[in-house]
Amino acid sequence: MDFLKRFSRDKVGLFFGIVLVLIYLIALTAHWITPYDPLQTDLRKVFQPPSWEHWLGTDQFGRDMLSRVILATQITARVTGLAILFAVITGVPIGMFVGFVGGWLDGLVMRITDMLLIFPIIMLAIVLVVIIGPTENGVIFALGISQMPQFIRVARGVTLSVKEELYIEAAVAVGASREYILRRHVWPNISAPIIVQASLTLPVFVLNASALSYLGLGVQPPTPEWGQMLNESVAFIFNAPYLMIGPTIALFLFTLAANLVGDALQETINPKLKKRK
Amino acid sequence: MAIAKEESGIGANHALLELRDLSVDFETEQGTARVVDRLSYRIDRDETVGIVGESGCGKSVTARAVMGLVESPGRIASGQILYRHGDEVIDIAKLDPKGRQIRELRGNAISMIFQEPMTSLNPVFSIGDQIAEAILLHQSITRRDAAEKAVEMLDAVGIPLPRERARDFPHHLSGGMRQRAMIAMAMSCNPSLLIADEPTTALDVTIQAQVLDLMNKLRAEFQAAIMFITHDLGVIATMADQIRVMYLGRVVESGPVSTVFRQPLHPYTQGMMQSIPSLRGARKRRLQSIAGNVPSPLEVGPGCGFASRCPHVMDVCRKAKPALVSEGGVQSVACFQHHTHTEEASHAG
Amino acid sequence: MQAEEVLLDVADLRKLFPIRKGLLQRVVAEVKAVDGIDLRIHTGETLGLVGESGCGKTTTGRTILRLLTPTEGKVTLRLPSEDGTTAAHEIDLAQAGPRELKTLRQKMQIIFQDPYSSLDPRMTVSQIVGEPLKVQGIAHGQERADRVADLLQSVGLEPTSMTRYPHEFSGGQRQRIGIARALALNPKLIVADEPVSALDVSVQAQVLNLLQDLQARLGLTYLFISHDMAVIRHICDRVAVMYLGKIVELAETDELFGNPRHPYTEALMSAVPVADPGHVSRRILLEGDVPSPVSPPSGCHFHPRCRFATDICKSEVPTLRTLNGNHAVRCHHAEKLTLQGVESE
Repeated sequence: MDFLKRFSRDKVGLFFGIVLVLIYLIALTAHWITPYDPLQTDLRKVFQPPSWEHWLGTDQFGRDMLSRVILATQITARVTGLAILFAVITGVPIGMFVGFVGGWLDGLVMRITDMLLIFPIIMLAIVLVVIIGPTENGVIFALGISQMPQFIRVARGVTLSVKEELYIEAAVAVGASREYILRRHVWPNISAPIIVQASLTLPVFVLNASALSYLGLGVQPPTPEWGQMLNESVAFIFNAPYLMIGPTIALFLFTLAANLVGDALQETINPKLKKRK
Repeated sequence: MAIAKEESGIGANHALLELRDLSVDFETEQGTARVVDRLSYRIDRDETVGIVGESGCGKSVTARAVMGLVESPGRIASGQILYRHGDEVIDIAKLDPKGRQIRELRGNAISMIFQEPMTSLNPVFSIGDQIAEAILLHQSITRRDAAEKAVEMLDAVGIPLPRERARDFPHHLSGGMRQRAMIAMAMSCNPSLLIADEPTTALDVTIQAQVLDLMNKLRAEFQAAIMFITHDLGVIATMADQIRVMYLGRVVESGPVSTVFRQPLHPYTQGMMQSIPSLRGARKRRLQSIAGNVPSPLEVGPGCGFASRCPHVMDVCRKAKPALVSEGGVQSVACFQHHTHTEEASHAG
Repeated sequence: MQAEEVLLDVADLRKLFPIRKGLLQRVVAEVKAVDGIDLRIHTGETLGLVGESGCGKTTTGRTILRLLTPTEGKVTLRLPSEDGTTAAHEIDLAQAGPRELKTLRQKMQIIFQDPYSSLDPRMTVSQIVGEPLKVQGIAHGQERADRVADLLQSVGLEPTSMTRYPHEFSGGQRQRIGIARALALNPKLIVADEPVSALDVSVQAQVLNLLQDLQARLGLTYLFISHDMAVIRHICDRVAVMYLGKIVELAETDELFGNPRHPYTEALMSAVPVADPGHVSRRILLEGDVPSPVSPPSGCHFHPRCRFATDICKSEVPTLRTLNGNHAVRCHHAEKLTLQGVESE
């Protein structure tokens, strides 16, 4: 409650929070709100510029661009959401465990995450997608793995600092097991920083998912994806420049909103950051 | 009468610092907390005044106010901090905290040492450099002379091999040595007032004894007045001439240390003295403790701040604040058991 | 003091902390935090462990409780049989396996110095005080709630505090919550690690009184760790003085304070500022700082700061010898020295 109150004091964050909620509402209801079937080709209606009938025009197969952008919103939301979930589910337990146990295992895992973090996400993701195959699951997995080290680090960091608290020693003194301490004392401290990390990861994933599909390594046609739509539109940039409008705006809005909401969340949870600005 | 009044204030020849009705407020989310509440007292030249009280009594905030270091969300709400600088009397409360005038006083005429010297020493400069820097800030001498003076100061505070130690960085030194270095820095400009805020609290008892011994020596040598802030009655008894007992932002009792320790008048002073286990008294007896806890400054009502914990509380204690009134000369107490003067009456008069 | 029944026997306890350096984390040195400690704690007594920071008193407490694994030594807990007919049950804590240890934790508990860090800010008071019962699977549901309410009452807190969070309490009240948690499992031995050092003097007295009351009522045995000589003298039956990982003197409280036999004990006592302006201080100022426990001085560790040190002190490590009765001291010259104690009023 207190958290929401503080968050709502940040007007920019609040505004883009609402934008983000709207984007997810569109994603959730995509199947019902698309004005046309996004996959239905109609060769009589190819390359129509924006009009009352087709707000964003139609593409080379006569498909309604607005409907395709809306469906792509759902795809992007799903892919990025599941990729974050994957990174959290794999990264957090590993981070908590090695942070708590310490020793050589901790050293080893940290060196591996360091190595993974050297590569730009997109490079790592390309390699992984090439190995797994350019499917939706492939993208989810590739993105998830590429950012898992970040979640390992956050979870480990929190665990290391909580581990020093005397109440952990008090729990050991009454006979609590490692699992109990991680669950009861460490875990409650981890949720907030993980939410922040997830919100900061979201825009990165949105951009990278689009980049992958721009390169043809993402979701395969005919399923629409912003990056893939942009790729296709490049071929017609002089004949039908309006094809770029929809995916570009969608990509821009989603990334911007996710970024600003992430910043606002971080400031709310860690108010000290704000003062330094 | 006017003359007599002047004699008791900053006008007196030997007076150095006088707080008049000083109030400091802190803005919190729950409201305004008055952390220092209409505080008045005087410190004379060459005198060591011990300010004693528990956490949250406002003793450290008062010190910061004298240094012109009250920072947001705190602010000086009212009152004067009169400081005699040469022939003129300066009201520190009115100075711009970032201005030239206060910076000239700070570290020069008035200097301060803290509980944890590590936080007030810069980790990336050697201690010799830092002391020299402090000297150069206020004196127009050459860098070489300042460096030489720094070594002299380190020697004066009993740091062995001062020339070598001057090149050391703060983390090379032990806690006791660091506090000595801090004292060397504070004394380097011959201040007339040294504010010591719990300077030995973080030190081990044998090291504390060394530092207290040092401060006693320096006090005689440099002839500075010391405002010695501590929660430790034992330290006060060894160090101070005068004592001011603070509770919830107010002085509840003041006087010469010998008088107050022999015969504490305020129930809070009495309670505090009886609640410390001594090295010589009967063992294993029940300690006299003061019931309850220090209330938050936000909860202070119209009455005496100590009323909620006082064993001798009367009706009047909950309705009005007692004034700090002199009891037979040197000792003063703010308690209705001893007089009927309320704060309001004394201000009206 | 009750009958001299040994509850805990510590024999040659050592705890070394390796200092690692470099890529391969090679051990380059060792901190001898606890360097061969022998102690016996009798049932129902309060044994004080006093010394300056870095002397190993806290590590000793932690190692006895097996919060740290001892490097060497034996810690025997002697538990009398329930009905009192059969012989007492002796367990070596230093060797106990995880299962056995969990059961043994019911017998010994700890009270911490810092009343802030020692309570999980995200748990309510009833969760904190009930945690030992939950972890040990002793009481559930209403039974646990009742027990928690009893515990809170016994440390002087209202049962209504149960649903509140630690940050709503003052330092002294938090320390009471910590004490209630330590009492939850009905322990025999409580290690109190500087339990009043973080508290204001007026509150300190409340907590000391509480600890004494609880001891009288529940027959507790305390290992009371503190740097404060006055507090130690007030509450302890016997006192062990530690310096650089070793016990340098151990005696009954009155004997130790009235008739110290180790120069360090004497200096420690004389350094305490006395809250009496009329007191003529004959302070013995020790030179220098406590040396590093990584490379303690040769011979008697105290010799560089000792005003009586002779050649033998530099070369030979003194043993802890029993002088008259129960007064043990680790000093080559103990018999010859006339040291100044504290005259009781």
